[in-house]
Amino acid sequence: MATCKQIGSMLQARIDGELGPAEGVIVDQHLAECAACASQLRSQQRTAAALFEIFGPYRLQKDLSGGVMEHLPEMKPLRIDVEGVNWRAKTPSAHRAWWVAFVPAVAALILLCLALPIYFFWPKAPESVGVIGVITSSAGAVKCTPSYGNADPAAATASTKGLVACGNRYETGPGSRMMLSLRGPTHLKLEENTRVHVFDDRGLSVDTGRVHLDVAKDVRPFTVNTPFSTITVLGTVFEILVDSQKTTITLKSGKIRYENDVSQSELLPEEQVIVTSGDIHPMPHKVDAAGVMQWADAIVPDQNAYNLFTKEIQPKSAAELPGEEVFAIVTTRQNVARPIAAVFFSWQPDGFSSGHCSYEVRICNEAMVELFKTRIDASVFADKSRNTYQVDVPGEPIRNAGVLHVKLVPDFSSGDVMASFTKVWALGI
Amino acid sequence: MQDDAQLVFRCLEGDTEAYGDLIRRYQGAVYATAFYYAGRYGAAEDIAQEALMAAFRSLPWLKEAEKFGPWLKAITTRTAANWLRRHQRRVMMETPLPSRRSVSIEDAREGPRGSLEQDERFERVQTAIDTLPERYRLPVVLRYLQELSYDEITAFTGESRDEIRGILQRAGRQLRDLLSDLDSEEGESTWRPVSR
Repeated sequence: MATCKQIGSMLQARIDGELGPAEGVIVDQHLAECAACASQLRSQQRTAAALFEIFGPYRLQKDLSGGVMEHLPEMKPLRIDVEGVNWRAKTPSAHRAWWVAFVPAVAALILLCLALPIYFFWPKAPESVGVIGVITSSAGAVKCTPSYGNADPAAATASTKGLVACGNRYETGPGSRMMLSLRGPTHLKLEENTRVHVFDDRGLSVDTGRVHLDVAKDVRPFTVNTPFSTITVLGTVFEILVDSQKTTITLKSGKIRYENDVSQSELLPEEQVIVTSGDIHPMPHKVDAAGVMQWADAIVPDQNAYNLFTKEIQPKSAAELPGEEVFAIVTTRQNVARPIAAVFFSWQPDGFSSGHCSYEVRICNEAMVELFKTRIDASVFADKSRNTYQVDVPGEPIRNAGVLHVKLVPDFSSGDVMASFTKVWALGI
Repeated sequence: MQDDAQLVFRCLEGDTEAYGDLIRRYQGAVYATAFYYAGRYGAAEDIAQEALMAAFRSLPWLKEAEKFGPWLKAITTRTAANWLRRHQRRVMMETPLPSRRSVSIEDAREGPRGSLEQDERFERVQTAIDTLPERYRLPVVLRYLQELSYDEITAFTGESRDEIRGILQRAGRQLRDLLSDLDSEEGESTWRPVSR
């Protein structure tokens, strides 16, 4: 016998005609016997009837399919792969491509790969403190005033082989001279009665006196301050003479930008300019630069000090410089190939009497196939009477080489000083 | 008679007549759902049509063809919500009250007794339905507005038949308590909760 509670839970289904046959019999039997449940049924029936009646006017009166179907042809035809849909229906979660899960990881990896080279190859800020060079020559009464707080005694001496630190000041007395080699390499030659302040390897000021500079090429500009002008260069050979009234600048090679308090201009090779304070347009004039700078040739670096420089200071950046040089020579003129009988080299003379490296010369044709090789001995560069050298082609002249590649490979067994080749050309017959 | 999944596949193969069958099968439920959300504003038919067309367009993205009903219900709900958002200004001007506010049982019980005008009676019913638990409301509307069978409600909402039967049983009892004064029959001793 079902309880009133059980029957109560079936009353609505009874009203809605949703009871199974067996349940129907049980409920009807109970209702016939239980007045309370029968009353409950009637009241619930009345509520249901009232609800049907109230909702009646709002009931959907028409068939919507007609209206909707009319619009279907206007819709974009469905172009889908039914097989694919079936497969998707069967495996709802497996339809994403397998590699989609790896996308975030791969993206992170790519970003990392991009970030690492940037991190490692980001140009390092120049070291503003510390040792940047060596005193490669020093003669007579020279004085060094170390920068404030520099505790290294080796960086506070003005004698040969002393270290040059950022912020050091150097002063040469009457009849004394000195040479500083800074990282780059940049060479400074100081005439007597000169006072300079070395800020770092790309900046200094000349208070008074005469300075010869051979500046290494670098992306960072080299700046020289004098009482009357500021000079900016990238890589060049020039001389500055500062006295109490004016600054005289002489340029041998490269290009210089100079400025005083009111104007700025550029100086070309073999020109000299005198800059004074307030001069609106200092006028450069032609001059024999080599003659003006003759005094500097007398200052030659001490071999031991220069070895210290190449060992301690320069190797840091020497690794960036390719030891090997390749020159390309076009051997055709007006589309006619010229036979080559010899190759000619010229270089910039340096101040060293010995300690040069020798060079292995490899001559290759356009396809980089080696035609022959030879050697330029170190003694050739030590001989100061010359700055050219000729290599004869052994046997028959070279024909149809197209672009001739001349590769110069330094051999440091005889010394460390490399020649700065300026031009390589071919001699025809 | 074909089941939903078979009709869906026929539609996907390009047989639009099959979609007609699906519409006839579900239009009552779709209309009732639209009515439940926006019926007062006389837009239920428009919303239902819009939902049925949206469903046809989205059919290729239906993942489980046998669950067409619940999927259609979701689309209908979304369409109605979009409609309400689009017509928010109009709706707010038409009625000072939000369309679906929560009402306490006490609120619903109050009101004039005796014979009520149709509009007032409808308002009472609407208020009473609003007092029901959220998941009871749509089955109640489906049942009383369109007289859908328990099986039809089950197919549309995705709940089991027993759940629907329980929901309608409890909702029916609560509505009887709330709306006992709506029926005009006199002299019957109506059952009331003890707390009354």
